[in-house]
Amino acid sequence: MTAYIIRRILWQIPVLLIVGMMTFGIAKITPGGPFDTDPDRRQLSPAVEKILRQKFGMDLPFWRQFTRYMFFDFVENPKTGETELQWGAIGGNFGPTYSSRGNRTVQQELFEERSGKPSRFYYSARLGIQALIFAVVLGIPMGVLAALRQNTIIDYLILFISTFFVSLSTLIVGFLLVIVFAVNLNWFTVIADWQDPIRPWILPTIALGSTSLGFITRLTRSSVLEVKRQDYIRTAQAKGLADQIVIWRHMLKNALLPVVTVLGPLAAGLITGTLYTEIIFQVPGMGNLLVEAISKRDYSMITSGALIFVFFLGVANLLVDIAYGAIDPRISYK
Amino acid sequence: MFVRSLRRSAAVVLMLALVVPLLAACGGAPAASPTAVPTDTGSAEPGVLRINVGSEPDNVDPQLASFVGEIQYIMMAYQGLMTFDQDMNPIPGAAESVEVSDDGLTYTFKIRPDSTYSDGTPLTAKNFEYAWKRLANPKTAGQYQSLPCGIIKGYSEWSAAACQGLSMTETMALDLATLEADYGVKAIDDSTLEIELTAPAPYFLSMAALWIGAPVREADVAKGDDWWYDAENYIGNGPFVLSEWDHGNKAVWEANPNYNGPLGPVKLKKVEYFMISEGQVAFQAYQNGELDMLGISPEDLAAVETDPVLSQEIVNVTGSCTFYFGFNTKKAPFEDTKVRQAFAQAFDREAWNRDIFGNMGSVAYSFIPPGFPGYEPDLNLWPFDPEAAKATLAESSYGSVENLPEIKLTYSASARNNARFEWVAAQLKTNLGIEAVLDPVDPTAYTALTKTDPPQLFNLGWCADYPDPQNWISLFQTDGLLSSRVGYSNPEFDALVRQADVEQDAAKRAELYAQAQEMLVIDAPVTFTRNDGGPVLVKPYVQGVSEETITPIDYWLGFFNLANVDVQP
Amino acid sequence: MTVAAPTLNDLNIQKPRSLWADAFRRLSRNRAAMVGLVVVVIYVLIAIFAPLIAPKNPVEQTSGNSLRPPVWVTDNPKRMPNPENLFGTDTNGRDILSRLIYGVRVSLIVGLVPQLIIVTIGITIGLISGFAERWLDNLLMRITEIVASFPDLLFIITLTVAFRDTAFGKAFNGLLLIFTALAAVGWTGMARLVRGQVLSLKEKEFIEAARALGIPTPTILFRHILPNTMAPIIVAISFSIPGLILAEAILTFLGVGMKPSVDSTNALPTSLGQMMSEGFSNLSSGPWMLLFPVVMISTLVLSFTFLGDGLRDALDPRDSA
Repeated sequence: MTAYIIRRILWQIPVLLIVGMMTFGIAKITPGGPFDTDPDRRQLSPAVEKILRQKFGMDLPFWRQFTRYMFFDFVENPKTGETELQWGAIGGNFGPTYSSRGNRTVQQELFEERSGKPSRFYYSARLGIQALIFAVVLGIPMGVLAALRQNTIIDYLILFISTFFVSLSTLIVGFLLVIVFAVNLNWFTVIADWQDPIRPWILPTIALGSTSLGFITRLTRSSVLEVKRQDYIRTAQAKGLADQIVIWRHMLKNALLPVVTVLGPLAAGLITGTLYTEIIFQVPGMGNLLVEAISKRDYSMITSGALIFVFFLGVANLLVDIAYGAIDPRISYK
Repeated sequence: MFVRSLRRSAAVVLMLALVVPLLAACGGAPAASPTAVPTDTGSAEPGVLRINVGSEPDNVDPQLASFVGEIQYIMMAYQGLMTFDQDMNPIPGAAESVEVSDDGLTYTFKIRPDSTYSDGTPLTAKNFEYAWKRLANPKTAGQYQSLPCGIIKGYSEWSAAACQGLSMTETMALDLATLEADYGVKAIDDSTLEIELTAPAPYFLSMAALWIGAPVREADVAKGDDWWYDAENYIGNGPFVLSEWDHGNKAVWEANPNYNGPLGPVKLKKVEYFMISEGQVAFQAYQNGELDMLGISPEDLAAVETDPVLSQEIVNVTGSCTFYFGFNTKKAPFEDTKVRQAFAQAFDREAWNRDIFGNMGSVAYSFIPPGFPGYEPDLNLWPFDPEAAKATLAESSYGSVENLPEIKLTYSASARNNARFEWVAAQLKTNLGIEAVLDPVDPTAYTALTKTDPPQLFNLGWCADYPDPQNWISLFQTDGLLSSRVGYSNPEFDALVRQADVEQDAAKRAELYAQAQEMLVIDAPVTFTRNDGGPVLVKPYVQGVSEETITPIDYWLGFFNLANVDVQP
Repeated sequence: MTVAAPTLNDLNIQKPRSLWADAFRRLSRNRAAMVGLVVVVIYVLIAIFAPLIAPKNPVEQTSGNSLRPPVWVTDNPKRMPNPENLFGTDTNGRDILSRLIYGVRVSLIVGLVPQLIIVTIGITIGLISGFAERWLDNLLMRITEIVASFPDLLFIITLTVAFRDTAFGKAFNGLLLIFTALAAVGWTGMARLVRGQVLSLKEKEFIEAARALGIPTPTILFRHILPNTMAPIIVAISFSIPGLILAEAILTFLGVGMKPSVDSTNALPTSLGQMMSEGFSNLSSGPWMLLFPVVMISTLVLSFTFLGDGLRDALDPRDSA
């Protein structure tokens, strides 16, 4: 097992490198640059643009820009005028953000806790985890219930509820929640006060969790139905086996497999921030920042966003694969 | 049977429960919604103004920043040497007085006595010297560093990279200490700042009112690259003090008790900025009494105007931008002046502003917008007239519509712009019989395109940096910021503008710019369409906001005479 | 529940029937699935016969006819409906009903065509990865991780700008680009889902038996394993249809999706997703602009879900009660 985990972690290294290179490369060839924002305002004079291009190393050949971002480079310190070794992403330096004119780095924007205010990562991760818990805790029982009451009103109701939210974009689900609970019922405020530790988190958690809730409910339902029909369960039921708990445990364990599978990518996606939930509920998380980075062509932010996502995806998938072994001992990793 | 009908009705009920509030709360039945109670003060507090600024600024360092949302912070926290009065004339700000020498080359600013920063430390001419030097210092490399090139003595020499196009390495190799010593900004004593220019530049006083000269303190800047990120470092001499900045969420400003400039005394105790990026959410927050003022988008206007409560809360403001269609004079068929003029005549600006913008803002036939020095309400050479347009087109080298090459309408892609340019294409078809092709391009790529390879026909705007015709007309000189996008070059126009830029006699100068603007409209390398502006919503308990007392500078800040505003719920 | 006799009876009747007829018989008994089927068929008919059904041309703009409410909303004297526009008009004065009818076309295509590619790639990779040697599994799964984090939005921007004047970029009003982009990254979830099922199935007795009998691997994969992974696949598909419809809307919202059109002969002028995002930004002035596309999309998705569930139950060979 330990060997397997180590091997998996080693596999992540080429994955991170390829994702980094791919994202950085595509971002670079995308037309328009970080200095092409807001066409209705004064654009940078060509001379100033030249200075900035030099400052951010944008005139260097592509491989050099990439190695500077990803690994290290020898860079002249503008204050002392000396050439110094500067680590890249592998050293935890994800580069300057172009939009802050190089005043702030990506890691500061995403992970820095400052003046007692939590980082953007904290907001995204906490919201994502809450939404996931919401979806799992509600979704699995709902799915089991729907399966046990197949083709009854309960089944149809659960099906309807879980699908209805999926068919709407999170943007609209979120907005609906605001209208109903903040505007009409006045249980919450439209403007989130993030100093409150609980209140502002409730609606975004539900909005974000609702899509995953539908998916998990339906997957659980269909897997339980599948398992329910397996011969051993039928046999056991036909025999009126006394130990119902055994059946239950067995059934759930097998039903969980597909649910656990989708949890991996879901978790990675939710934790690294989601645009619409953040926009509607004014969550100061990473999602908005990472999407804005695309239109701002903030190359280091874009690439870091992809690296962070694939890192969490790798971790989540590893956990899922380990969980497979726990759920079904026949799936083994040698 | 019973189960089946129950099932159906349950589904219907659920559906209604989810969808009806959507309709009810969004203007469908305003009278029934609890938010429409006219006297709703929500959670408003006396003396506290809550507004939405939409997003977090990326950088609020005065010598680096360049976007409206950033400048807004700087102008709240700092007071430059000059500011503007309600007619947009520059008046002394942090300076008590300014003297211009007879040759127009030396400006002597006297700082107001006993001026201090918001934390009580003294503000002297030295602070301004530091700020103006920081602006010019090639190491700063700010985005507006090129603005004073060639205006202040020694600026171009010192700021060689930004003004002369030298590389950073070449610039660093220069004798920077000497260049700094030769730079024309000097604090004679604690209360006197002297700025020498290379040539007379009447618009320099407006420039001295800009954010680029905000007196940042050396001690604050020394705290790190992102010194401005912490409210406790962002100490200025402006009307407000940044007391709390919860990034991505809100910023809280308190009145600066030490402010002694012309914008004060400030009536408000506090201003709260919220960063709600989705307009519909902000609209709900306003209706729910959580915001005191709100800018409305054209999309919301219809709802506001037909709502009995909201329609009473509209206040109109003027804008600072002019939008136009640019014709690339290097690409067929727009190399022909007659074709450009025909397109200018064929565009129904009134209908454009009415159908698409709900009559927010105003139609534009010339460049400088209403309320700005140089605005010419009577310069209307291309009124909407499809017949005249066809006649003009017949005079062109193409002779008729059939002979024109394919017309492609390039614009910055977004859902909103799609609808707008679908409208424009329909206009061209009705008025000239042209089947234009729509060509949406990703916004950032679009900006790059207008600079590197300007499309045949495209849409752009220009917003004021400072209120002086020089900030508008001069941009169309050969190879100027805006003319290079359309390939416009007219030696006569260039000569007029060059003369106007240095003319010291105000009346003569205005006349020269007026002539140039008329020439620009006749040559029609671009055709102006509309000015922004329009209604904002203001709660009735917010006092001091009115059309009469709005100063344009307030609008730039996103406010309306903020210093005189008060909140009394 | 009765016991022996009906079972025998069933067996007698079932023998001569084909698998498909049998499945259809079971499907037709499932009322929810039948409702779903009927709705889907109606949508398909609307999509095919849009030009005949639509009362107006969907791109025809009428100046001064903007933002009219549906005909039955007459409570605001300042904004009265136009009797010609049953469901009201949008900001450009276009008939919403006609646009909805045409929008169904694009949304059906967007929801289904990339789906085929997603399902094909996803299932293939998933089957191979789950069944193959550990190293190949590892390689394939790491590739899916890379693809899952592919910067698709940037890539689409690059493609649309680069190809905006070529046939590829203009094909189907820009939809071809969207298909390519959506399908290229959309299959990763499916692949992992299938792989997870295969991992568990391949250790089951009947698969080991099949292997022991020397049945070739492809046969085992497609005959014995694939049918047993259908349940989660169908769920995933029914969730990926709204996903794709909404993804198209988001792309269009961000300005890299379908091209807008004023061409009155255009067969694909708008989509439900696009109408939904337009509706959202006009929510306060014209709630009907949002309401109608939302109801249309929800109905479509619900129908697909009901139908999908019914299909899954009907195709399940063990479920012959």
